[in-house]
Amino acid sequence: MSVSPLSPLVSASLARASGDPDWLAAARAAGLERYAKGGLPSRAEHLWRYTDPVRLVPGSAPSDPETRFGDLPPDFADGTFERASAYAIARDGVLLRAAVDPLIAHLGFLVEDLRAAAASRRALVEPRLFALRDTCDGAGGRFDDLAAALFTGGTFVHVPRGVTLDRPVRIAHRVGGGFAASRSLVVAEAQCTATVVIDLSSAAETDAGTLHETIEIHVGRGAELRVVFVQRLGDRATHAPVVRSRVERDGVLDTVTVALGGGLVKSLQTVELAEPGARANALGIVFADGRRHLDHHTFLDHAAPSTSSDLDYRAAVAGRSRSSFTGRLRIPAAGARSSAHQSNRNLVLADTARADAIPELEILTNDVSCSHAVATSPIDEEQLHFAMTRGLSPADARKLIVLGFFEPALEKIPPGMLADGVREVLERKLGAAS
Amino acid sequence: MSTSHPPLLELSDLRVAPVADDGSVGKEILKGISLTLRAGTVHALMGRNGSGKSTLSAVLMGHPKFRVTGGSMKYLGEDLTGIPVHERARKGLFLCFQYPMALPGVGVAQFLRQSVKGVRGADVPSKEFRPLVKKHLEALGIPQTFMTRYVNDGFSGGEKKRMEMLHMLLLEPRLAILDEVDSGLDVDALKVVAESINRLRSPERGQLLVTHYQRILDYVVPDEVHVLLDGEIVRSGAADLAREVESRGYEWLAKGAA
Repeated sequence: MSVSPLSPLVSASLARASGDPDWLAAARAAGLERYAKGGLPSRAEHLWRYTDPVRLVPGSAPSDPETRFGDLPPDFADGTFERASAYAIARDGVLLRAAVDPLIAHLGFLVEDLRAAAASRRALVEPRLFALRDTCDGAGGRFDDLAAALFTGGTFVHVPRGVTLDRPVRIAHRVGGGFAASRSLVVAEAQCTATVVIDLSSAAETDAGTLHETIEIHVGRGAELRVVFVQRLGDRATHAPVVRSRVERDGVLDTVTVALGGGLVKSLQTVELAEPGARANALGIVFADGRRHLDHHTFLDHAAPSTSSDLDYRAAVAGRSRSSFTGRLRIPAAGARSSAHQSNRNLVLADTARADAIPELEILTNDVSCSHAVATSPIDEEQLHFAMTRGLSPADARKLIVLGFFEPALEKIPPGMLADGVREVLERKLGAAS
Repeated sequence: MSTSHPPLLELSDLRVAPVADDGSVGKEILKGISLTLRAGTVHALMGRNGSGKSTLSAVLMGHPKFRVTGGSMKYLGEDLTGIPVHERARKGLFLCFQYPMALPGVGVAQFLRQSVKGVRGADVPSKEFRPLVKKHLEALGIPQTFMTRYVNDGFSGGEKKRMEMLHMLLLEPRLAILDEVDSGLDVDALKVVAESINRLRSPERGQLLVTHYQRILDYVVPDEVHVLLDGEIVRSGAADLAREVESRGYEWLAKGAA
């Protein structure tokens, strides 16, 4: 399959690279070369069964990023850091500004523009940036390569060894109607504890932009990192996020992924449990309505012994929407004595909506504790009836049960941040869908 | 209360059949039940398993799996058939479930609050709701942490019944139907449940206790007792009928029995 015209992408990549240090410029060139050589993935590949990769190919080079963010999210308490250790805002992949609580700035944690950090903090950035491309079989690597060549900017979060951030790092990212490519790097050094909360929105509800976004996450030995992603793009937006993580000895990565918007979403999350004792907890909730097409793929690789993972993805589909979830789990012989649990539950709220669940288990050792569960069903009639016998209207009973279905993920979002906003969006969508 | 008021509940020749998933109507389970429950009274409906007791509870509350195939069921003079489930709750009916559903992810406090709002038709201010809940929690011997749990999710049998009692006391229903509320309870829990029902008794309200055993009737003394066998009320009487059933069983009441 041919890739759409490369030349504008080549020149765009070169133009981006002109401001970058040599090592980064070289990495961009390598990414572009691999993308050009590899072509588009074939639809016969399991990752692309549900989404045509052609729909994700940018028609042009990234547009120039906007320099104005617009209204701040309501949980950005301007000037105070009561709820967050740091606030950052990004537009079209480019960090516009970041502010760290001055009272804890001496801890040395960083929230910065990634390209600036690549130049000024090479020792911290170079060994990690792009380092996870080939983990988990390089799954989905081709668009990753394109984003590597083209990324306009992104956020670098660095939490030093042993530092505990008692409040989250809060990042808001907004995209417009053009094509944007962003790349972020989150490094949690050994024995640190931190939470990062990122939300992604469209500047205007009607913006039909495309965002290729790659986030690399490194969890050091004994570190505990929670990352919350809330995607609430407009109905016409296209989103192709790739989130790659690697967890070292006794480290814990908790992810909470909330996908509420976007017309077309093709998401890949990989986690490599690279050393003994590494753990990953992955919660995901997807609400699809209208004509949304949301395709989520996870890949958990137990590459070391005595690692553990617990994944729970839930989707509710309404209208004429479609959600698919592919949960790949691999425990090679090297992953002995690991435990892994995966669950994917889908609520079908309309006959015209569809949810597919595809577990892919690749377990090459017997010395493991492993379970997986997949269920797709309408709302339980008995639950609805029970709630209605207590005075709730059919619509309210439905809302209550669907919100309850999502609650285990929502309650993991730090207090005062986004969770109430997400519940409101869900209630509104459920009101419109019933 | 004057007898010129319509009774709280009036069943005349009520016939009920189950509805299958494909919509087909099955064989009648209730074969013509008549019963009049006036405000200020407690009725007990006794019967062994399979007699149709739970079907009656379910159909009064509008469960979609049952259909009225004949006769009528009137609440305060109004035929309940066709009235949506939540409207029945708003009119003052309450069904205490034998097996209440778990609502995972739905907090107890949130559920109760929304329920009270639904039944009253207006939001309840926190400053009114909290002390009210606190009072009932204490009376029921429920710790405050109960309110942050998910509704019936992982609850023991006793906790589920206490949750139902809490809900009933908050809603103060005009007519409470209690389906096998005593099943599986130890004596202490049984007493808590009985006290809750007794606390609700008033000249304006009524309760229908559906039960297999006479046990709870030692604590909640009924004004009338009805024995249901194979979908029909075969005997009605005063409280001593329950004791007679307890000592003699149900067989002597069966049709054709001497």
